[in-house]
Amino acid sequence: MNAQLRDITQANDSPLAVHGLVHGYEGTRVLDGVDLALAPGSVLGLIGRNGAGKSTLIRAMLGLLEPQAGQAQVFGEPALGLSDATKGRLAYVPQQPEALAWLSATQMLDYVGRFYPNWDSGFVKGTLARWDIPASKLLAKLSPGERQRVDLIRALASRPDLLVLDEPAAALDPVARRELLREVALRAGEAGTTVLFSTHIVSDLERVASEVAFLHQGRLLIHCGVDETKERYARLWLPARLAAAAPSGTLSRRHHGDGSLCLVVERDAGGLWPEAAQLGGARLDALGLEDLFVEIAE
Amino acid sequence: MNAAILQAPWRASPRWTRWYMGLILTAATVAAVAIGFFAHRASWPLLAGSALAFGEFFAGMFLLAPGVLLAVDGRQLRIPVLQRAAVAGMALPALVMIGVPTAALGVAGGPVVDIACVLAMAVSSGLLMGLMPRVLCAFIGLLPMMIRTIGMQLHLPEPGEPGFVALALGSVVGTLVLSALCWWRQLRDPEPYRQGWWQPMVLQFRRANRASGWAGLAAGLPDSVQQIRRQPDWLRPMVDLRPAGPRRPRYSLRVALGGMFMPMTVAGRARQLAVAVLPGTLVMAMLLLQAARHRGGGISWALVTDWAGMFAWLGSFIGLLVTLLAVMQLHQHWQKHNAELPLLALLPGLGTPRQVRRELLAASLLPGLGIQSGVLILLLALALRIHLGWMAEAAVLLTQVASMGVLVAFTLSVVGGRPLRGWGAGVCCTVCIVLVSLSLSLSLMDRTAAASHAPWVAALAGAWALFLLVLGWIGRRGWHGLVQRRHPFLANPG
Repeated sequence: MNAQLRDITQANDSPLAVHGLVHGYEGTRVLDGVDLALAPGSVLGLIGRNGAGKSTLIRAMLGLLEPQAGQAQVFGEPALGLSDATKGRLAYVPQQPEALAWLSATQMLDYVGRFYPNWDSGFVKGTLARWDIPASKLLAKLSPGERQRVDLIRALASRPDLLVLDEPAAALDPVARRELLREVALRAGEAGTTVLFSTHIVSDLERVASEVAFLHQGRLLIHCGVDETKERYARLWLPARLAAAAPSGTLSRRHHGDGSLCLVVERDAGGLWPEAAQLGGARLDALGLEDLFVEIAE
Repeated sequence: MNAAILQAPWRASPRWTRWYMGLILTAATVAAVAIGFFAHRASWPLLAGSALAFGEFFAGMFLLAPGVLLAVDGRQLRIPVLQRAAVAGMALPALVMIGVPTAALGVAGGPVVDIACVLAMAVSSGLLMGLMPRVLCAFIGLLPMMIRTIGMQLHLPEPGEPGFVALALGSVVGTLVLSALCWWRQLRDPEPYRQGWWQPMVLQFRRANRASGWAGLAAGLPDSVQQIRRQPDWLRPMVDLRPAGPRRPRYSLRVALGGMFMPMTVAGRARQLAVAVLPGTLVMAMLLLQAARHRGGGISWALVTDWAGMFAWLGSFIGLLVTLLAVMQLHQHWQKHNAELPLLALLPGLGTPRQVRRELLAASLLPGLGIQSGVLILLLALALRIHLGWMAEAAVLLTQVASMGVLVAFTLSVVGGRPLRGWGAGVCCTVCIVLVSLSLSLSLMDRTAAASHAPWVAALAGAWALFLLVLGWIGRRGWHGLVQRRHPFLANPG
């Protein structure tokens, strides 16, 4: 099914959905008509270059900013006016969290936990010890990685139905990153938690995400299953003499010095590659997720 | 080379500093010229020199003192000659700032040595103010009344009187030695760009000048994370979390706002108060004791009456400081996307948007208003006890109410998503400080002198009315913004 069509049909029962989202800062458009919906129980990796608008999109999806146009819904409620019940089902960890720096980890988790009906104190205690976090040290004095992990504990301890993580692995070492990904996969697999996380580490995405969405220059270029990407997208190389036959509407187009052309193409609704791929001299290469990302973003 | 060195302080200053300094120096020059035209006393050149000294004090602080930053950069980047050039770029303009006006006023018949001394004192104390640790600036609010009181009680010679030149030269040498020590200390500091209460004021200016308006003022203050990182462990805030939770949203919001809004345990509050108040109280006690000894008696109501002006200044200064701290802290909160705002926006149990709005306003306004009300009650009680007169009582009331008004208006503007930008915030704060200073100075004169200034009093009352109207407009605009927001925890654009 076409990604956009699927988005629209899923929007009504989606834990998190946006439609026609537009936002910008100081005359620059950061989001340019984004449509996206998460399927319940899915793990969506939002990928894009620095400054692509990932954090802005996430914040708009959760009602943390008022977009210039478009709508965002969380469990069917407008994101800017969530009820307590919906807030209780949702957890969000921003990029480089800094909240409540004047409290210790224990104090912060105790304070926040009082507001959540499903707060898991046992998980908090166990994970603080397992992740070696100095629980009585003020949050301001923790290292960025420790600080990030405390916030992840905060998010996971509320046993959310929807977990939104903005660059959760950015400050983590490889071991901590692996632990986090394991925890996310466990939550999604066992508890059916829907997860949205942004990253530019493609290997993390491949390890845990079931879907990938690629945001580039404020537009969502790709939204499909992670396993689908290899089947659905490829790099088409056309020599100079075939350049005129290049299909339009490709995901990226790069001209080489010798006149040849490199394109990222997508199968059509019938599962066929563009006609130019069949021409003699044309070459079609399968793309891994990282290559696809680089080809489009470059 | 010399021309370039002369221009260095100006060219190395950020745009906003140039604007402020341009305005202050122009105002000082205009005042000096006006004194020349309109003052009929023979001592007018000295008066004109004093007017210029006012401007040059700020030039010393905002234009010359930042030379240390250039020297630090030169040392850190291992650029040869730059440290010496920074010293020359400070000394040469200082000599010009003293020499040119002195020569001009000397030609007009003024006492050259006295004028040069006044200007040198202004420039050197401005320089020292910029170079000394921020923590000492807590006493700036006391300075005007302290100098006046001490001067009167110790019968210090004034410009034109015998002994003034010796005193002035001593003071200039003293301030220059202290400035050199501060300069050297900063240059040798292993972390010279670190912000902190013991770091020089000029570092504060560098941060504050990166932006304008509240953003600029707030940038000058380290944010909550930076502040706590720098604090020693024994000073860590001892928050009282026991009542926090969905049943006490206002209390919980105060915990989330942190800083001066945060509810602390009794021990924690006492410790912080001791750190904040003890040094000031000690200085005040020492000065009072010295004055009492000089007066030939103990601490009495008569002595307190002498010092009424100092107390009024101090109270107004505390009121303004509370306002500035509260508003800047809120401004910092409402600019961060990764701190308390997203947490609060998604925290269940705080109530309906209407309730959240009400509780948030209470949480952000009541702590500041509480302190200001306490100060107001103390000052009014004191004023009534020593029969200060209706004008002084009105001034004390008005200045504290103005601080409260600024707090309410600017809090609404920040949480309502409509903070003043650019010049607005700076102009408002400056106008408030000027009005407070003028009101206190005028009202604390003796009654006969005050009566002869009736037109000034009327003009001041008009200025106050206008200022309060502007505050009303800012507050109303913020309130409308707050009501229109879908929820109050939306970050303001940077």
